[in-house]
Amino acid sequence: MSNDAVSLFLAMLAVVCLLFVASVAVVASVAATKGLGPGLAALRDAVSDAALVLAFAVAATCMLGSLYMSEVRHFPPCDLCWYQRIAMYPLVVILFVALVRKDRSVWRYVLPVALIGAAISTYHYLHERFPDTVSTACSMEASCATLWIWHFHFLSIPAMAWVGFVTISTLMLIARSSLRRAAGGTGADGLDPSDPLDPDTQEVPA
Amino acid sequence: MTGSTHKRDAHGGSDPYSKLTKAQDRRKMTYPLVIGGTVLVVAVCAFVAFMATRSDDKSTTAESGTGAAAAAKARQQVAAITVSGEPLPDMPDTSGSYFSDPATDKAIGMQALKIDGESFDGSKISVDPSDGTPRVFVFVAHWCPHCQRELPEIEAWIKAGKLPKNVEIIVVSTAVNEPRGNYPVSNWIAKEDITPKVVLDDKDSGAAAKFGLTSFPYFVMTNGSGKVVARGSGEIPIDNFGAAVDALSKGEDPIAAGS
Repeated sequence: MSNDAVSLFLAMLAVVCLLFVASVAVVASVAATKGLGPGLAALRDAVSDAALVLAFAVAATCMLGSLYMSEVRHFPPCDLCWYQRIAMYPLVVILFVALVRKDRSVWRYVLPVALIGAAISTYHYLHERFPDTVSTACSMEASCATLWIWHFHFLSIPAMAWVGFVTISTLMLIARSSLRRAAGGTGADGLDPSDPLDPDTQEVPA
Repeated sequence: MTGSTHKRDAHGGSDPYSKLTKAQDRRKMTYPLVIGGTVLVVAVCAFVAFMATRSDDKSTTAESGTGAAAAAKARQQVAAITVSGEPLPDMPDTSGSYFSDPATDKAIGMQALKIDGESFDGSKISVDPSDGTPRVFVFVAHWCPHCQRELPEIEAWIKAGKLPKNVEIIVVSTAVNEPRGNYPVSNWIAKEDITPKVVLDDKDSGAAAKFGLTSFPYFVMTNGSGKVVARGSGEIPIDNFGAAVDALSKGEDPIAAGS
């Protein structure tokens, strides 16, 4: 794939993640007001089961994407890029260990870091979109306002990082809610929340 | 075990075990669907990205002799350039204003440098600032967001017929650095349909250094006899830029008019 194809590919993945987050928000609000039918409940449970592997995949993709930008395309990371890397890279390791251990309680450690990363990405994106708030001229050095990539009229590198952090946060909230369902009794589908895939499940059928 | 039995009884119904089993079966089937669906979506994204970037239409309708026309036939992004004359001192800090302060800018009143260079298509461009034509040299870097905004604004201002007939604008493409994006420079110039001639700086940005550039975009205005009458740095609102160029064309002070 060419450089343009890779960056477009990453941008498309970001759009898919955004659609996923929006869908989760809609389903969650429906569940909160009307409850879920059996089909949506099954889908919710399946996504809950896959939350760790999906979060790991998102974090790993973000990490590989950022390494591709700096090591293959030679975009020099600016200060804000480094802060986002500091937030994202450890998530890959933490989520991998959690995935191996099937430990959904990892949300307690991942969520704060992901939210901090999303906050930095937000600031970076605003800095990039409104560079005049900081300066009206460019220096020769790597600038946080430099627009390296621009897809679909809204996606730059910090925007894609923001999507990554928010998607991971959403998946951790899904993992958290599945833990709470498992620990707290009947789920919205009206079934026993006992989960054969969840090591935290306390109720074992006789 | 007793606790488990009690919990299932709470659901009521004739056979809570079969209901639970059905839900678990459904869940086991849906899980691979989620993973498989994710893999499929990723594969589709990769395919679409590959197909969408396979060809790159570089056709242009730029008028011949313009920067955009040379960019459309680009065979180079940097080129050897000869800049003769006494180098201008570095542009002083202009924070808070668009142009340098004539009281402290030692370049004001100096003779501007003569340029012998090339454009994207290899065509020769020679600029002698003392040939009687007032000029505006606009130094831009392709990766600089301020340049990316300023240059199209200047082009729109030119296309609106506001450039005085006796003034020439020369764009100098400098600080070329492929990894920093918006590259090739020629694609950017062609896309923005830039009318003024575009001179290419060398790979070491030698011309920019001799003109005293410290940040982008960078402006040097010279009068008909080749004296530097104004220097500006950073994005300049197009109304201020226009006022300065109008003053330049009339032999007045561009700094006073554009500030």
